[in-house]
Amino acid sequence: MTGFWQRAVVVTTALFIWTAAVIPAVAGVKDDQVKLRAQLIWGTNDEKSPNPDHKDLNPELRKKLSGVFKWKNYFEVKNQEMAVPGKGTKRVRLSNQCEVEVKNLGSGMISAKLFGEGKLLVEQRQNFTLKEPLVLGGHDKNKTAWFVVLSPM
Amino acid sequence: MNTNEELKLQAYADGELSPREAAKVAALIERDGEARALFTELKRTKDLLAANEPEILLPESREFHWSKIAREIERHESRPAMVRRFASPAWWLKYFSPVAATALIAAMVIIYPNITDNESDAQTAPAPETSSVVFRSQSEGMTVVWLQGDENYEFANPESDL
Repeated sequence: MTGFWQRAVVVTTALFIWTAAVIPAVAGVKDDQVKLRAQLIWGTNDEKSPNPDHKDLNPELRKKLSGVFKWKNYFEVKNQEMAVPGKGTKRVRLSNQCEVEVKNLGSGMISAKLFGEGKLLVEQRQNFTLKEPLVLGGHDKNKTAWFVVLSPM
Repeated sequence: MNTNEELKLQAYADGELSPREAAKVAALIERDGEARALFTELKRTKDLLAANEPEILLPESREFHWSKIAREIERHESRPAMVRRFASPAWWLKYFSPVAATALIAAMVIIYPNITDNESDAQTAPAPETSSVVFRSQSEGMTVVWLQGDENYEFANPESDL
């Protein structure tokens, strides 16, 4: 009988400590805000952009895009930082026609909605704990391309 | 003399036979020398054991022996209630067990949606009239959603901005 009580005490104590440690940790992750950078990028084979407001893309992201897509040059049209609170939603306009909405699903998961001319075009979920960018893209005018890149910060 | 007769002789020596059977065995002893010799041996052994049975005596009187037991019981019963309460682990287990169980259930409720969320790192729900291709570039470490369709959106084209 003594052995039974000793085991019961040990198991109950371990269970209590585990739950006491896990609940705040999990709850903390869920409530954490997600910080990310939303960029609208133009991909072209031209050497220069006719728009002087377009900026050269940072080399790291440029290398990533060049590793997957065929365009020679990539210009940054818009760069917007976003902080989405736990279970919250933020929407930003990246150009006259393009908007992106990010919902924080908790635990590092986000849901991104891309709107074109106010219409929902695509919705994508991404695990930002992987620290990898999510790239939404499509063909643009004159054999160019647009990219909306959401990068965790 | 067979085994049955030997057993009857032993029973006769112990006085366990009915008068009729006892008479039969007595007659057997009278006429059979072997039976007589066995009966004599059994009787002698019985008398020897009865005469030499050890007598164990308590080194103290009966009353004193039981009074010691009674005092020991009283001593255990008179221990402070608090001491007994804290000596047993059950007093706090009955509080902590439900608390721990409740905490565990709460943890599972919180964890379970996260587990289901993490089952798929990325999911796509294309809007109607739009198709898309999703792929992950292992070498570049990024997920790409490429929109396809007859309509090209001029999101980034400089001519649209100007």
